[in-house]
Amino acid sequence: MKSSAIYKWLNWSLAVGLGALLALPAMAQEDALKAFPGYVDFGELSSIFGEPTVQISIGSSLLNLVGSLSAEEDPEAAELFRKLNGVRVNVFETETMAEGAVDLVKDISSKLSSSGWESVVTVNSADEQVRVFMKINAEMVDGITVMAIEENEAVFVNVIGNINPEELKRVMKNFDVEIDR
Amino acid sequence: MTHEGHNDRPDAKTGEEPLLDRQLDSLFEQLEIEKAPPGLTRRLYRIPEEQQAGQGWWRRLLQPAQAPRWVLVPALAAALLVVGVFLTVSRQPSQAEIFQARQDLAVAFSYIDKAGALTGQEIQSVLGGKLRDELRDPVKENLSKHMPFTEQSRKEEST
Amino acid sequence: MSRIFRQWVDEYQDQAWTLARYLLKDSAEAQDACQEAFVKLWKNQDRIDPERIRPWLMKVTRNLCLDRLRRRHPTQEWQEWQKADESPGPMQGAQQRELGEWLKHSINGLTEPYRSLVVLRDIHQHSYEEVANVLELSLSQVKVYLHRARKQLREQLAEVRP
Repeated sequence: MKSSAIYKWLNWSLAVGLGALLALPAMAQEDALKAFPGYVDFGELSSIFGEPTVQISIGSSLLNLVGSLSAEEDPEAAELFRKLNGVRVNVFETETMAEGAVDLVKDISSKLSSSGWESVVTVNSADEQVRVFMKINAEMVDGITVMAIEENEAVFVNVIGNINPEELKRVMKNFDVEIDR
Repeated sequence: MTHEGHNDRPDAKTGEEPLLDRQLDSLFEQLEIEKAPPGLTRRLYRIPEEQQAGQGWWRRLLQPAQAPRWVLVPALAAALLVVGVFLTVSRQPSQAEIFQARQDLAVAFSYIDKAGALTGQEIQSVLGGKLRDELRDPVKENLSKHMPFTEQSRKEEST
Repeated sequence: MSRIFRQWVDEYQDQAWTLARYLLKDSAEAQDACQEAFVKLWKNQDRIDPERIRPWLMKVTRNLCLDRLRRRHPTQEWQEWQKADESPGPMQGAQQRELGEWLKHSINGLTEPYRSLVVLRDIHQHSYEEVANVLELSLSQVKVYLHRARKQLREQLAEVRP
């Protein structure tokens, strides 16, 4: 009995230690992104939605490399990715409209509006809540934020960097990657 | 409100309702929770194995109950050591990581496109152009198979 | 973790199965719905209070069954597909006219949420609070609706009993 309790403690602490070590680069990257004006703090999404089904956080070095790979056939993409500082995506599967989800979106929206973000899209219906915000700086965009909540999915996207929306549109169009989900 | 001392409810007869209630209760007692078929039980028992089969090795490591204990402690210690050494050395992302980043970017773009599918005209005019209409290529068709939000998949669902 | 999950399967599979069968009638579909519900339980186990596994699972099972029913009748209004389905309940048999079998049949003749209410409260013996949680109704709504459901069954029983 006693040895099994020790094993249990050992297993737990090793798992926590491993998790912490593995999380260090991701945490460092997330911290680095916070410095940019286009970064959005979505708050504690997990407390409302639980564990995300999709969680993406790509920093500038990886974005640069992705862009450089396609520099020859798509110099525009290379240029766009060179100017991006980060791309963050959190997707949650939900059973119904999660309690507190709508309030969270409104709360974040109000904070964004009061800190210089421009609301470009708003959808307010019982089964869909969509907000798109842009942080505009002269003719460039420092950040794009998409929040979308439907009955069975909640999505939070934050694109950070020096974004030209026209370039982004063209790059999205040409980004032909097979999605295997 | 009563009328001539009788209850107004149309189905009420003296003593009848409680009798029916008691009869109903005894009939309910006859109804049992049905036993799940053995085939279903087997399918349910397999769920942890099937779900974990799709997970990465690192996630399986974080679920210690799956491995025998005598393997677990040294295995985790070794993994920690390797990871610790690995992280102290600065490194460039591997080809696999770059490929994964491309995949992740496509996912991110598809969700931005989703906002367009949900909202129609507005996001097109702001992002400068017919964003949704122009994405009529095999990528979009592939995306619609896998992403629940794109307009094509929504059309498919509703037919 | 899978040991605990297996315990949950042993403890709750019959109730999930019974509920799914009453709602869907079809055995294969009911099995699929149950499996989907337990997959969701596996994926969300870290965020569910262990004391509330049963109502959570029943809620998810019911919602999955209702989704399947909606997909069966995509062009009909909500009220239409909610209508009583005349097909027999989970256990068919030669003794349909036996009152116990009659009751199952009658339960299947109830509309939602009355059908789920009766299954969860009178067959599964969930508490009122649990039933309210599963069906996302208030406690008083549960009691009122249950009263209506039993009234309907009582009236039918009055007509068929010897």
